[in-house]
Amino acid sequence: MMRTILIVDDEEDSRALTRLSLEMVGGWTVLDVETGVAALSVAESEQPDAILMDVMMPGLDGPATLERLRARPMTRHIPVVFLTGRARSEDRSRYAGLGVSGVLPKPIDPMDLPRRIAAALGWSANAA
Amino acid sequence: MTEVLVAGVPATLLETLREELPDVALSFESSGEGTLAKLGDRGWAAVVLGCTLSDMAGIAVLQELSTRAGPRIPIVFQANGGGRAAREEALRLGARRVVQGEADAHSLAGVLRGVLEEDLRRPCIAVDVTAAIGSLWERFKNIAFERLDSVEAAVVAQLEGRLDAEARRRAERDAHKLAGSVGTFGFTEASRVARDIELLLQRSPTPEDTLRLSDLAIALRRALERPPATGPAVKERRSSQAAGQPAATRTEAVERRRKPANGRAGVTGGAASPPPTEQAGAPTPRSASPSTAIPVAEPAPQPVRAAGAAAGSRDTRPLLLVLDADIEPLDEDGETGRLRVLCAADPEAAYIALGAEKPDVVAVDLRFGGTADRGLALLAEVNRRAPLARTIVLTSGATPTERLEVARRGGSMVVQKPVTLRKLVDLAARMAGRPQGGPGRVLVVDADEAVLARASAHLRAPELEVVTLPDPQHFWETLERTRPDVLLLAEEMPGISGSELLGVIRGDPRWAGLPVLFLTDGRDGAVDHAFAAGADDIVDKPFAGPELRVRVESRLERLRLRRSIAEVDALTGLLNRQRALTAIGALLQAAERSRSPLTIVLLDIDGLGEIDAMFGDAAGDAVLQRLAATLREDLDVSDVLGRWQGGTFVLALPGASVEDAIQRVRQARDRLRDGPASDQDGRAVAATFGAGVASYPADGRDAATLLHAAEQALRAAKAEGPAMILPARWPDTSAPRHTESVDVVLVEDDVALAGLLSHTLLTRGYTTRCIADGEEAIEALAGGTPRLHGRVVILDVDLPGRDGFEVLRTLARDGVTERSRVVMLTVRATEPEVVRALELGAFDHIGKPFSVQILMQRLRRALGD
Repeated sequence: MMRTILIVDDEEDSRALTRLSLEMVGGWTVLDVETGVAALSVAESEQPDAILMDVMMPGLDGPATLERLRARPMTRHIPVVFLTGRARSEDRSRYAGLGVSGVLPKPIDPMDLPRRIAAALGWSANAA
Repeated sequence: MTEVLVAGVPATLLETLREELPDVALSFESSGEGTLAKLGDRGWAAVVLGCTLSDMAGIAVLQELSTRAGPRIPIVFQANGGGRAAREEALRLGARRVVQGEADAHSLAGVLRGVLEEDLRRPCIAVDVTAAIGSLWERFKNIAFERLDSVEAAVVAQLEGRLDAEARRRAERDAHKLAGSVGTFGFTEASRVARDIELLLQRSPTPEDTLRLSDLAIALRRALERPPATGPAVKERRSSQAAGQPAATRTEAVERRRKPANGRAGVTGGAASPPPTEQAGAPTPRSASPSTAIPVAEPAPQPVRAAGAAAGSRDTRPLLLVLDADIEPLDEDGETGRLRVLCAADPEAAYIALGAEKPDVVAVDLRFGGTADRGLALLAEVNRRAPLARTIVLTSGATPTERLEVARRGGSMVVQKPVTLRKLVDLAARMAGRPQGGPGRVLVVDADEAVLARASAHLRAPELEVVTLPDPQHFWETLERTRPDVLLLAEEMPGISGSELLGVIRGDPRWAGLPVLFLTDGRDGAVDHAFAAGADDIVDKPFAGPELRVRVESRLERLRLRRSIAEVDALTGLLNRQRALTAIGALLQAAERSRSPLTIVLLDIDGLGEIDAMFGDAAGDAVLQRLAATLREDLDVSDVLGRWQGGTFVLALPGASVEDAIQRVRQARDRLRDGPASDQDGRAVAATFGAGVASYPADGRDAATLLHAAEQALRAAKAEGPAMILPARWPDTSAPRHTESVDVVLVEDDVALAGLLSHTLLTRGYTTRCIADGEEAIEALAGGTPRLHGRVVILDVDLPGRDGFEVLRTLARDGVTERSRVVMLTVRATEPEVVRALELGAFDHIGKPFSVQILMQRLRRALGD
């Protein structure tokens, strides 16, 4: 089954790169949104297989968005992976407490990102 | 043959693998350490990491490998129990596949074959992806450069001690985003540097942090402007260069006679990089970025748009506009390097280009359009449209009268034709000053010729000019002539020591900011000595060449950072006083030529001191920023707006009468008063300003007089109460005449010289009045209540009316020489003449011809500065 993944990132360049990596290397279907608020509604309507979310965003940041996703019956089951440039261990444990499936560092390696996401999510290593 | 390293598996398993995979060369290794060592030295196609390593757990080997740089070798990992958690951990650490420990040789071989085949497919994907990433970088690099600009601005603010917490957090965020995005595009070094900057900006930087920040900011730009050393972008670059002609080496030929169809008559662009085809489209890249990746479809030169707004948005190189029908275009691979070049072959094209562009240097043929009159008219137009541009006038034998006309119309330089475009580009590059990242000039002074030779051998580069001087006796002329960006100075020299010279350099405001590196032989105390004298850095002799180069370049880069902000007032973003003065000078010349009015307004915030005191400096700053914004709202392109000092702003409105100006200023005042500004607690701070208005030519014909008149009017307005706007001579001139006081009165009948001097003085902030006649000088300066007082009077001897000695005698008689210092400036410099002048009461005597620098030094002494 073709996987669908939702990218949440306020930075256009970063979003475009991540999409490119997930589509071309991962072979996944990609949706993307700019804000945490948009992520809440798209996640509910599109039911992606996973959400890849930037931690630092204006407005609802990654953790705040994750909390709300977990609070809603329609989205609480969707696994979320964080992307962050600054993953200190205390942050990691805080994110883990929120129920995040993985925390991946920025900058991403576009050739490697899908594999790492798949590993974090326990998906088959055969990516697609 | 494909080579695979198989580590830590039982011998029987290895045998079976060999049978199953006859086309693969399998090497065996028993220990983890051995595996790690072997993986460093050969291009393995894959690794099988088994669970029977002799010395360490397989997972520890994975862990170690995950920290290594370089290409990832696909790893098939044999998990020794541990279930799902162990499997996930192995994948997290970079294993491509995880098989269970009890897996048989047959299934292991299958997995390994799968991995190897998959890897054969991967390069194809890799090429597509890197190509795609390359084009993404094209789309997004301006975002990266904007973030870089923001980080740099913050670092500069920090260097100047005015980085507030909010701006720091913004810059931290930008550094964070840079670190995240540019690393992905292959700029790993830039990403790392950006991360360091981000960390430093997380708290209020200490002085050491500040220095470190400035170094990092420089390193960051360098790293971003250099093509990435590894990673996708560079691969993309190579492939496209192989595919097509590299864009950077191709110059758009300057096609002057071609009439393009798009209506931009005859205006063509000639720029080495980036090519104008890109200029017209998306914002283009700094020179060295991987932009060269984009293959240019059509190699033939083509008429291009007169690189308009879109082109200007990223190409920040100075623009040379050539208005000449005879200039031969550069040949195909001609480099214009630091400059953008536009050529216009006919007057129509010239006017279009002047309307669309803001050139830094304009070269005009005096006979452009047929006659000298037409050329002069065009020159006037150049000065009206681009008052800040330097102008080169091209002529084949101008008459003296024409030369004078050229000078009067603001021509900076006359160049004899025929001249090549190459020569013009060189001249213009020099005139336009050193642009961002452009070449620098280093002066090395050392009596030891061997040191000079070594220094120049190591420093010389296309972008770095090295001038050496073995004889410190010629230091000043050489300094003046070469105007270096960095000075390398030996401490030990015959006759004069480096620190002595440095003391004098630092005492001269013109050179006080010159970065100076000291070359010492490391004697005790030499270092302290050099720093005490004002050295910026010390290099021990004998020096290492590369180190010297790095130190010099680091100074140049800092200088560039500083220069990029020096012209703008930091708080308001307006022109600073110097720049405003220069701009007003140019507007005045234009006004004179076009015989149109120019009105100057000085505005001053009412009660800024009270606002600061009651609501805090931040509230005061906010009011200043609001005034700047309010004034900017209806600013015309040719208007000049600058921060004069403290709460005072200067506004110059070409073409506006006093009445127009008052009307506009009144509207601004009302907008400012009606809009709310708030202090830290959100309370609104009402603000008004007073203003004084003076107009050319009614209130004065030179900048100093006009500004003085505006200042008087401002003072009168402030005396009347808040929010008053008054014109000069208010109440009218019937009031008793006051003595006007300026820094320098220049009594000189050589118009060109007087112009040069008053410009020199004005740009250094001295108020000046010029008088061209001896009689008039006596009338203005002498007598009971003189009309004019100068702290210094510069006096020529050979004057119309009365000669300088007579003027001096009269000034002495009336006691003027006690209040003013008279400096004689004359060709009459025989000993008896000098003695006579000094006996008559002159303070100093300077012989003609003189160097401006010496004059300025002597003048400063006379002014007691």
